[in-house]
Amino acid sequence: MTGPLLELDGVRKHYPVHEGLILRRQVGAVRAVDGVSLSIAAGETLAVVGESGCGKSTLARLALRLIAPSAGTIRFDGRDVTHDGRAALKPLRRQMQVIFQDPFASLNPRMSVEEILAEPMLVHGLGDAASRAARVRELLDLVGLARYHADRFPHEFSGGQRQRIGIARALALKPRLIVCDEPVSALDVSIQAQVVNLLKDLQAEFGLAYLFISHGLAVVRHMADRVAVMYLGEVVETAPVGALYAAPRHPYTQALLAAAPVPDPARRPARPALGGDVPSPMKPPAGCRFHTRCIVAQARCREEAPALRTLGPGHAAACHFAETVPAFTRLGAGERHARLQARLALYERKRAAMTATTAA
Amino acid sequence: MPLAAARPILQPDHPATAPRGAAAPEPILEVRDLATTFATPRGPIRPVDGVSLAVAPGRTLGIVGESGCGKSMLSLSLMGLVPAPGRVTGGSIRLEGRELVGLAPAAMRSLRGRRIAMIFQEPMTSLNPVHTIGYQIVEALREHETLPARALKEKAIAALRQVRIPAPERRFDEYPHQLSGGMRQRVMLAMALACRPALLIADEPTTALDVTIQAQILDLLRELQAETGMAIILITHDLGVVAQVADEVAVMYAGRIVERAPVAAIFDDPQHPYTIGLMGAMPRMEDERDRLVVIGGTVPPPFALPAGCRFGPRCPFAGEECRAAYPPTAEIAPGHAVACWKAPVETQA
Ligand SMILES: Nc1ncnc2c1ncn2[C@@H]1O[C@H](COP(=O)(O)OP(=O)(O)O)[C@@H](O)[C@H]1O
Ligand SMILES: Nc1ncnc2c1ncn2[C@@H]1O[C@H](COP(=O)(O)OP(=O)(O)O)[C@@H](O)[C@H]1O
Ligand code: SF4
Ligand SMILES: [Mg+2]
Ligand SMILES: [Mg+2]
Repeated sequence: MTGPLLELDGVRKHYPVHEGLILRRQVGAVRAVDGVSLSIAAGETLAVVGESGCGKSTLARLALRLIAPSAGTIRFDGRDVTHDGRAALKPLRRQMQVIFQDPFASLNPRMSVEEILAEPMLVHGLGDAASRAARVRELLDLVGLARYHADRFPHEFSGGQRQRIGIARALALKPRLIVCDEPVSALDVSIQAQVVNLLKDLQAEFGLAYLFISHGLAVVRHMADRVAVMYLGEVVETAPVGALYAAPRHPYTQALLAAAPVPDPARRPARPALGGDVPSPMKPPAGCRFHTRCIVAQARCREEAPALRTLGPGHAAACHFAETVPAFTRLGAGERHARLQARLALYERKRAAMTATTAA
Repeated sequence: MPLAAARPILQPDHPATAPRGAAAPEPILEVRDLATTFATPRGPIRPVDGVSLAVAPGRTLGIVGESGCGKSMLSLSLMGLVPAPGRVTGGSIRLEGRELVGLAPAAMRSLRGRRIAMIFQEPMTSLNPVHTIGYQIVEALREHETLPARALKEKAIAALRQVRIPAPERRFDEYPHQLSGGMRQRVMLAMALACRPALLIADEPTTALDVTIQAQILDLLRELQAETGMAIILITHDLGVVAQVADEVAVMYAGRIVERAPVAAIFDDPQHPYTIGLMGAMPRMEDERDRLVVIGGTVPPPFALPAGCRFGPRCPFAGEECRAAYPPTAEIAPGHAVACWKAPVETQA
């Protein structure tokens, strides 16, 4: 019996907020992550979704131990790494890597692709020049870049190619976990599809675990095994991907799913599911943090914070009325039109033939 | 590599907008063979290269395509805001029957905001951080109206109220950084609509927003359109958004419209291989965990266009004729036009 690869237990990250230029007084704190517990097994994808500002990136940096939590415990492979310093974290860094939304900002513009990909190995003192060069070639093959790309610089690549470089760099040390912070959010759908397929192939090949952060619910449907929905620093619902999309129990999850546009002009919702903006994480509402926007909120919700309650296998939600909220069915969870289906199949066949001939 | 310079500016094989159904109102905007050219060290490039389209009052035309396809340059061309050294070098833009190509700058300025207005993806870059939003709306109004200060302020507050901003009197005195992204986009909308334009161009207005806020803004656009009867051109790369708000759709690729159809037909009966690829690449919540369809490669930049069909190098259906010449645009059903040698693709099976 092996335990989870990564485990977060009651993790908090509060950023103090100061006021005044000379006498810097602390006037409050941003509760960016406020008591999150979750775990990821080897080879598994856990997706984290939620509106911007809900604490996803902070959670990613906590999971990577790039920052230390204000409270709670972080375990990697069963070992408590919450308070580890730089030296103790170094072996951990080999095992967990990160891919960011904006690959350009995370790639050193003055380094060639070869140098970028070899750097993690150099930092960790792995191999010699020849074996590192061989690994760079291997990495380029893995992510679908050409070998001659090794001598090029980041600015010479398109957004999708840069994200491939970012992925290759993350793979360099053969990690077990990759934290993906909105890796496809800035890409066009056609490029996004390439990167999503690549991430899935790599996972199948190397048994990688992903912490996959995204605000795109449709992408998550394709990527994740399990999903955690965050609101104002807290996890409000967590479930296996099938259950989350088929039977979401938290009104916020339902609203998020309802807000994503249905790609079918025959099904247009009457009204937006969710009004207003996310409240400030400095002063989250009392009781249930979602009550200011929730359509089923009752008096109790304004006073008492709901705990995350188990509702089914691997399925938990933090809502007083999780058992009784009306079932949510996404508009038009229907089949694609037959004619489109047939054309897509034909397109795929032709494309397979095309790649076969160009590869030959 | 053959450069765009070799091609005539006007594309005679690009016919005018398809005739609409008998009940359809007269278009308020009619664009024919529009070309926008930049002189560059590599020779002239044409990010908009023979675009024809039309929109009627109260209707929404969605324009989709990957980044770099020329969507923003097309909207700037319609607004008369092409940045130097670029300029509109061919074709015609008729707004409410009036030709905009070649219009004197002062006349164009007077139309902008009054008859045709635009909002952008990132409202923060279009709002001035050092002025209150009220001040900025009043300044925008002053371009077109000579009213006493109090009346201008009232009008600005009414504009904020129209876009459903709560407590508009208080918001009037706030600065852009005090507002959320969604509120800022509402302010932009208030500013754009303050003078009741006949046509609103919205260039990726919700791309930077969360889906929840996107849904609110799209709903607001729908409501305002119902109230004012304005025509909307909505530019997006998200087919889901198109499905939700567009009446007609134009698919843009490398500076040209490759397919144009009523929204139902685009989703039900996509003809162009690029449109089909976009449909397949889009992840859908309704689907199981299967693989996404991939469009290989990337959009060619305007200085490195392939010969023949511009989608050819990425197209699984491409053949000899595709490499030889750009395909003519054929109308395959009322209002449904496609520029592809191989359409309908079933003939290629
Ligand atoms: N270094 C920091 N100092 C202060 N506040 C921060 C810092 N990083 C993030 N925050 C705040 O914490 C909240 C969560 O941010 P983030 O984790 O980036 O959310 P997300 O990735 O979901 O958009 C936001 O309100 C953000 O402004
Ligand atoms: N000021 C400019 N000068 C020259 N080329 C430009 C300029 N702005 C955009 N382009 C080019 O025009 C093409 C279309 O760009 P754009 O209209 O921004 O595309 P989209 O909005 O569809 O992403 C791109 O290849 C872009 O590089
Ligand atoms: S004309 Fe040819 S290359 Fe262009 S889309 Fe049609 S089949 Fe593909
Ligand atoms: Mg983030
Ligand atoms: Mg653009």
